[in-house]
Amino acid sequence: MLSFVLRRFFSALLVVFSVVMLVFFLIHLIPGDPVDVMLGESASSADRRALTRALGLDLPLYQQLQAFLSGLLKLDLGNSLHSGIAVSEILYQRIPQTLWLAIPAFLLALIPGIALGLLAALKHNRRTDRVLQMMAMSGLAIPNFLLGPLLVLLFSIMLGWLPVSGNASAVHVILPALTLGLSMMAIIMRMTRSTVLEVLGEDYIRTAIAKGAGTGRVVYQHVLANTWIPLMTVMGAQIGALLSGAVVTETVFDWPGLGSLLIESIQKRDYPIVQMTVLVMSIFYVLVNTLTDIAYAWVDPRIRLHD
Amino acid sequence: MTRQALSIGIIVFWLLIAIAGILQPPDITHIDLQGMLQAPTTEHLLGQDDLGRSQLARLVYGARISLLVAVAVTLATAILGIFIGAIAGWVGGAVDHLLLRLIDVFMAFPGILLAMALAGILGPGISNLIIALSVVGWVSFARLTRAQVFAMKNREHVLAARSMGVLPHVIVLRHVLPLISAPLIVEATYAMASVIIAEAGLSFLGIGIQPPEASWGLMIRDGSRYLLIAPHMVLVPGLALASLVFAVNSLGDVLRDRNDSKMKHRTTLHNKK
Repeated sequence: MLSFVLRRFFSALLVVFSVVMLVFFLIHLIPGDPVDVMLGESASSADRRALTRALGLDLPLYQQLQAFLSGLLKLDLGNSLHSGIAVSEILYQRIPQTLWLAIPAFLLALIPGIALGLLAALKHNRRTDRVLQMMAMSGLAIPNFLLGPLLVLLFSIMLGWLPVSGNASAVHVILPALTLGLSMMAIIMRMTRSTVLEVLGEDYIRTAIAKGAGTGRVVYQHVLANTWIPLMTVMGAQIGALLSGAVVTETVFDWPGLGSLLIESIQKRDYPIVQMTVLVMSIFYVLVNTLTDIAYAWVDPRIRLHD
Repeated sequence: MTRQALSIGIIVFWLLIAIAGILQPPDITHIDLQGMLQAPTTEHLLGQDDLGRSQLARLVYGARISLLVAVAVTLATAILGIFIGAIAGWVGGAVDHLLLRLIDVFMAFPGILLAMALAGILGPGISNLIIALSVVGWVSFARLTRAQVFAMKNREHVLAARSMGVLPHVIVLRHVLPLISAPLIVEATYAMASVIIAEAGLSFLGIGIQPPEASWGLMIRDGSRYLLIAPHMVLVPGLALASLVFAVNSLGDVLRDRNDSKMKHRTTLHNKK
């Protein structure tokens, strides 16, 4: 087990390092001089020189990389090109907001998603299954940036129940969390359904039924126990959908989290913030996936012995 | 069967609309301030937007953009992914190990996030959008191809071709790829649906297609500011987008189910022998 954990952490570190390098080179990927791109063609040469120096672009590449990495290790993430505020301070304000949106959304997706997926699988090819499948397909076809305005239209404008945007009170989180959660719910439902269907086809289920175990017992003791594990790893990957969904949802609802920060700073060409937001989101994603892998192996010894 | 007919019907419908838009380019920039935010009328069947531009014209133009980006990105990612996956699966050894690490890194990274950052940094425009989405999209094709090529490598007809001295790229192209095309086509169908959403999403966020051009995502973005007085501005492109994505996704499901049952059939026959 220990060697499995160590290997997983080592490969997670490798991925994080690759992401760090990628993020560093993002700024060098810009065709032409990034300073031109940031300031526009008409900027004075003094301004351009100042920005070049501020970004450290006058130094040789390896020195820039060195400065970037040592800054990261000291948690000095640079300053916003726009406001001059330290990037770490901006992130510190924005991260809790994203969690406050993402956690309710994830729970909203997870619990009904699994329940409905299980229901659909147990009613395989019956009417309940078809209706649920149809709902899931519609959920997949309506992306966040369309669902958000539609929910606003229904609940805020036509019914007048909920606020349109902002984050002033707890009520404000309902619509964004629904927007972010519903499409994920559709994905989780489809995944649960196909996993349960696979488990239902196994020999041990037939044996359990043949032995005369009741439906409830078969579902709880045999089906769910064997569904959890494969489902867990796929769920880890859904954190990626949660993060990109948060970017869109925060933009739709003017929610002051990491996602809207990313889009604002892309539009203002505030590269230090873009770099760090992408980095923070990726590290979070890698961390969650590594932890699910480890939990998976801990629960199911076959994994750590095979891998 | 009906589901298949419905999804193909919807896809063909949007394809024809897109082609019609190329043959007879709609005027998407004609501003008519008198007709600002006008709901559908007999003159403007789908209403007018915040500058009084025809929603119908913009929708037709948007269909072209959506399908063009979807086809271009899916083709580019499929070719790149199949190429990388085939090399990894065929050559094996250290090359496979290295490519697998590269695939792992891309898998361990929320792709659309990278696409956002790339699209933002490369700057607006349709070609940069296609590049950004292609850079992140090839991984699933590579993984699939690698696994399939790996499994095919020691099939008898492949071994026969190898022993006759057929060149590796000819074997892969003529004797391996045709046999693994079914799962690749399923993958491509799903990829196309996600590219359609990604293009609209990036345009919605303001880092994809730029005004005064038209894209469904851009139309939803413009419309979401006028939900109170002109909901048709969101509903029209929203319905278009949802119908196309729905159709492509369910075509993917139909193809996958058919492929799965074929495979199951094959294995049961095999077991009986």
